[in-house]
Parts: sequence; C-alpha cells; structure tokens
Amino acid sequence: MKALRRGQLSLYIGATIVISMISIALLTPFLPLVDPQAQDLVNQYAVPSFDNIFGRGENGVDLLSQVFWGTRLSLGVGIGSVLFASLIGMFLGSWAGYKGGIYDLVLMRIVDLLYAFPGILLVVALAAVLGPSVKNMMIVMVATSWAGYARLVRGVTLSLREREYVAAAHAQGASTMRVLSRHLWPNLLAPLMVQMTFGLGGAIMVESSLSFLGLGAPPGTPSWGQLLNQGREVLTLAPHVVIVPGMALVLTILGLNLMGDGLRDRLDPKVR
Amino acid sequence: MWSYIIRRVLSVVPVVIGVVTLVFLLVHFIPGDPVEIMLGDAAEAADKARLRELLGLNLPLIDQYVLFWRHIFDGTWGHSISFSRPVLDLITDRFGATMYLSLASLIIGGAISFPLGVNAARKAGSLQDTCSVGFALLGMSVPIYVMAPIAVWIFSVQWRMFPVAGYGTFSHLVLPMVCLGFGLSGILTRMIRTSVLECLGEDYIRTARAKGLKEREVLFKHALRNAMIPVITIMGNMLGGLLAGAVITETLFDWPGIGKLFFAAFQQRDYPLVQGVVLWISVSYVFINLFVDLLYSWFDPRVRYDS
Repeated sequence: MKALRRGQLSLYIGATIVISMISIALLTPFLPLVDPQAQDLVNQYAVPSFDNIFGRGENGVDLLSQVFWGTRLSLGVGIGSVLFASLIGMFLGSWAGYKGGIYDLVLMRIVDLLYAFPGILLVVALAAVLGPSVKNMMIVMVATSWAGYARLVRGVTLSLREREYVAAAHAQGASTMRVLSRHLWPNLLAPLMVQMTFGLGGAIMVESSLSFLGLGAPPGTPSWGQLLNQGREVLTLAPHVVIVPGMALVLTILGLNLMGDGLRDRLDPKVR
Repeated sequence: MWSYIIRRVLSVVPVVIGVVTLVFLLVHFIPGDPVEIMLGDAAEAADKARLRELLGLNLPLIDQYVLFWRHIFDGTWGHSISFSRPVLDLITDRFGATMYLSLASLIIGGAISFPLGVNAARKAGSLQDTCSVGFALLGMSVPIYVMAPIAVWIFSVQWRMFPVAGYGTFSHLVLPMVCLGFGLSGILTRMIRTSVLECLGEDYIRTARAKGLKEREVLFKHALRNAMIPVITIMGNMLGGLLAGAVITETLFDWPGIGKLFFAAFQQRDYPLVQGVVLWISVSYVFINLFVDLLYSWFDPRVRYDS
C-alpha cells in the first residue's frame, strides 16, 4: 500500500514536470522572448539579474531564451525519435513474435547485432559519419533505438500469442494484420508506454550528448548540449552558463524517470 | 558444463562477424565522397587519388571488405590518416588509461550503491529506503556532462582540491572517477535493492530464519549470494557503457584514453581511426559479456540447463 502511494506521487510529480516542459516547448515561439541569437557583446557572460533571470552566455546571448528554445529542440527530437522508433519496434516486434519462424530469427539476429554496440557508441559513430544536422540526429536515434522496442514487443507478443482470444481470432480466419491490430497492439500499449517514457529520457540525453560533442544540431541552433559545451570553457568566469541548461536537462530527465516509475507501478501489476 | 562453455564461446563468432561488417559499412554511410570530405574541396586530384588508393576506396566493395578483414588479421587495423600510424597501435597505447578510469569508477559505483541498496531492501518502505531510492533517481538523471563541470567548478576552481583535468597522479583520477561512479551508483542502487528485495521474499530465506540463523547470516550467506548474480551482469554491461561513454568523459577531463582518441578521430574525419575505435570497443564489449556469462554459469548452474 505504501509503495503504491509512492508510485502515485512520483507519477504526479513526474507528469507535472513533463507537462510543464512540453508546454514550454510548445509555447516558446509565442512568448515575448528576445531572439535567442541576438548578441550583446558588452554583456557577454553577465550573471543572472532582474533583467536576464538566467544571465547571458557566449556573445551575450540571452540564456532564458536559449534554454527555452533548447527545450523545443530536445523535446522535439526526443518525442519524434521515440515515436518513430516505437512504431517500427511495435510493428516488427509483434510481426516477428506472432509469425515466428524465419521472421523471428532474422529480426532477433539484427537486434542482437545492434545490442553488440554498447551505450552511445553506435549513435556517436553514425552521427560522426552522417554529419551534424537535426535530421541526421533523428535518423541516427531512430536507427539505434528501435531494436529495444522491438525486443520488448516481441517478448510480450510471445506470451499474448498463447491467449485464447488470439487463438479464437486466428481460428475464425482473421488475417495476421487483423489479429495484430485488433488483439495484440491494444494489449501491448501499457508496457510500450512505460518503455517510451524511459526511452524519451534516454533520447533527450542522447540528443544533448551529441550536441555536446558537436555532432548534433548545427552550430547556432539553441541547444542544451551546446550550451553545456560552451559553458565548460568559461567555468571560472561564468558557471551559470553550465548550471542553467544543466538544471533544465536534469529536471526534464528526472521528471521522465519519475513518470516512468509511476506508470510502471500503475500499469504493470507484477511490480505491486 | 563444457558443452555450455563451447556453445557460448562459439555464439560469439557470428556476432563478431556482424559487428565487423557493420563497422566496415560505416564509411559507406557517409553522404557523398569520403575522400572529398576528408581532404576538403581544395585538395589536388592527385592527393585524392592517393588517399583513395591508400584506403582501398578505388576497389570494388567486396574487395574492400576482404581488405578490411585482412587489416584486422595483419595487426594494423588499417592506417590512421591524421596520426600516420597503424590504428591498432594508437588504440592499444591508450586503452589502458580508459580501462583504469572505467574500473576505478565501477569500484566507486559499487562501493556507494552496495550498502545503500542492501540497506534500502532490508528496510523497504522506511524513510531510509525512500532516501536511497531518491538518491538512485538523482544518479540516473544527472548526466556526466552536467555533473562534471559543476564538480570541477566546486572542487577545482573554488576549493582547489583537485586538478581541473589531466592524467598522471591519483588526484587527477578522483573527480572523473567520482563523477562517473555517482552516475553508475544510481542504476546499481536500484538494481541491488530490487534484487535483494526479491531474494528476501524467497522460501529459503524463511527456512533460514526459521532454523534460527542470525539476521546477519541470513542476509550475507543466503540472500546476498543469490541477489548478486543479476548485479554482476549489470556491472558487465556498465563496463561496456563506460568504454562507449569514454568519448564524453575523456573529452571533459582531458583523459588520454580511447574516448579522446575517438573524439579526435571524428573531428579530423579520420575514418579508418573512427572504424578502429568503434570496432575495438564493441568487440571488447562482446567479450566482456561472454566473460560475465561464463562467470554467471559458474556461480549459477541453472543457467546452463536453461539455454
């Protein structure tokens, strides 16, 4: 009972943070913010004050505006890549799990191969050869993360396949697509949503890692990762250039992790 | 036992072949002409032709693939353009530094998370448990490139306790090791907590308690031994993640390992070196996993029968 309450609390706190961040991302173009690229060389690295609550960064850009536009980039790239990757994973994973045989064998060998590359290795390598751009970043993130969703969905499908309602649909002559879309996908949504929430946190970390390494958004695009990299160079002079985007990143990931934990508590009966 | 070991060792072969093939293809994902990207637009045609020949890019794809394998077996792993040295030499010179930092941070991560996780599981639902879970969540949510600059600002710039960056003495190791260890301890604390909690609910624990064993003995002799098995697997995975993440850590702390080499390689567009580092890290990871699995089967005979 106590664990349940904790799960609920983390769901609410997490969801509040995540919804606030999404609102910032959506509303940024309509807010009365200065141009994120507008330079004010006299006030370069000015510390936070009433005029600029987050202070100024390299070339005197307004950090509030930079961080808000960076939210748009991080969440945009994150949500976009998670949606694409999970759609691919859901389709391939359920198809392979339901049909079995050669489909399953081929899919799982590809998944194994992608899993042979640890952490962000493949992401960095692919981003390095494709060159820095938002589009390439999305491609790389989808290409390396769909396998996780496919593996999860395949596993769940293998157990769902044995259910009587699936056998009944099959016996009535339902096509594979019909069984998948009517009987499997609706039941896959709960575990998939938990994975997508954690996946979004991971995707946002990958986005900022790539931008930090200069492999993500092209220079000049407001992004948390780039701010962190710039701030690192001027740490003694202006620590706020690291702290401000750093807190935005940590808060977002913390929110997603809390929300993921809460969702898992609610949706996965095994944990209770 | 032996048949399991042989099967597991052989299972590595197709994975390694797949990894080599994918790493080989990496250069062919480059949009446009790799030689032009490496040398720039202004390069002489003769230079381009020479580099093309040096990299074997003038050959048919299948011959390039054969050449790639030949380089792996002749011990050069190709030739780095920016360093003018065999790729494998560059990697082996620097791998020690990366392993040193990775293992040190794994030890720190374990040292933080072990007592936290075990204690949290024993007192599940208490305030101490909640604090440990909160700490773990924080560890998982603070990336190294946020943690490290802030730690450097506090401990190196303000308090002047440790060097900002660099390599050589123990004090150079402290900040990167602790920052990485903190990140790892997040996931580890959670894993250990869950794993111990699960074991404490088993029947053999009730039996051990029923026969009057002291709580210490129940915990250390019965629960922890079984609870540690999945934790060891996770630590093996983490070592792979650390090798891959070295590109960020070593850039942050100017640590002369393969991560910094990797960073230099893609900044210089030294593609043979990029391929070499990716291949080295992923093959190391495959073998670390193999080693962990074999260790696992040694500790837990059930694994051998399951597969």
